[in-house]
Amino acid sequence: MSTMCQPICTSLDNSLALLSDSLGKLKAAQSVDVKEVSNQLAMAAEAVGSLRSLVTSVLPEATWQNREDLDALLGQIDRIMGARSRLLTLATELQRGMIVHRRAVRVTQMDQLREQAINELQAQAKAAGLPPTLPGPEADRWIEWACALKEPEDAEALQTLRNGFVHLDTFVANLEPHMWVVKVTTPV
Amino acid sequence: MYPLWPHTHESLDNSLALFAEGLGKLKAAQSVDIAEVIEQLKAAAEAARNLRSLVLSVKPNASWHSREEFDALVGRIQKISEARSRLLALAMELEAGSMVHRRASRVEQMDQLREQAVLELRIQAEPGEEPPILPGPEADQWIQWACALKEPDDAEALRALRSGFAALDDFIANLESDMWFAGTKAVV
Repeated sequence: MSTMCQPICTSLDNSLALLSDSLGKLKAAQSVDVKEVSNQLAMAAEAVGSLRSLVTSVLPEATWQNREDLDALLGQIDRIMGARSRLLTLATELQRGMIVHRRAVRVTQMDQLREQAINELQAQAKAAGLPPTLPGPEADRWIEWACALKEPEDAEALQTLRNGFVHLDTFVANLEPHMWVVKVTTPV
Repeated sequence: MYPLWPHTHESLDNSLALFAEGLGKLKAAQSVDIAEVIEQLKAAAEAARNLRSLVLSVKPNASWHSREEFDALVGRIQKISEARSRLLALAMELEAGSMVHRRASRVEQMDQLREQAVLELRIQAEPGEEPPILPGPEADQWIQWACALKEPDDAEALRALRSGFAALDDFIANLESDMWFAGTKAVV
């Protein structure tokens, strides 16, 4: 489960566990602190509200009828958040690097393509639903991997890239590995 | 020099020498074959007309008033003619080579840039205006030379290239030397 869903679900489950205890006591005709039970109800309702907001913020059209449906939805949200996070990490990696070339005009051109690729990644990460699949390894090795893709051997990965990320594909198609330099930040 | 230049030039000089010889005899009150002298005059006039046509075909607005000015003009035309030959030789060199890259889209993009560069060179080589000066060595070494130009070290040569041949400059700025195979189609 995603780090965003986990605390809210835990909070809901804890509130419900306490309410269940209180319900058991009432069922056994034992006395309960009504004010405390009311607070537990309020906390459970608050957790439900947060969870519903989270679900609808990621999947606006989502509906569910029971806990199993909700858990399945949360699993889906987890995958969506993971995919978005991957896109944003790559966008940051692209922002972090630098283009070097013998000709200033080519650097300018490549910087424009890079900017378009970054905008595309950020837009895809903001869009509703599951973003397109980004093939390849994690962000820190992604550019090296993408620059080594060639046709026709890597046609499938290239097709996936092209289908989901036109600008990113254009950027890496135009990028030679020796042109890409990652800025190293040295700790002060 | 244009192939007809030496012949037409020589023809004019020979006709004039014979005509001058006829005039010299007349000046010394010697007998001459008037019909022959008239033929020499006609031959000289025709040679002069041919030369004028050749000059005006290269520089339509040219004018001159003396043999010195005419010789200077011919020298200038010879240089223009050499400059045009150089452009056409480079156009042929560009057409004869081939490009390889891991990505088909990049090869297509570069082929388009090459086509535009070839077209530009051919247009610049057409009769009419004097073509701009193409910096650098002869056609067979030109691409290697141009791909080694870098800013700011070679700013002057790059400026000359850019101002005279924008499409050729675009092609070169986008070309990596390891992508280019001169003369024959590269085996992929």
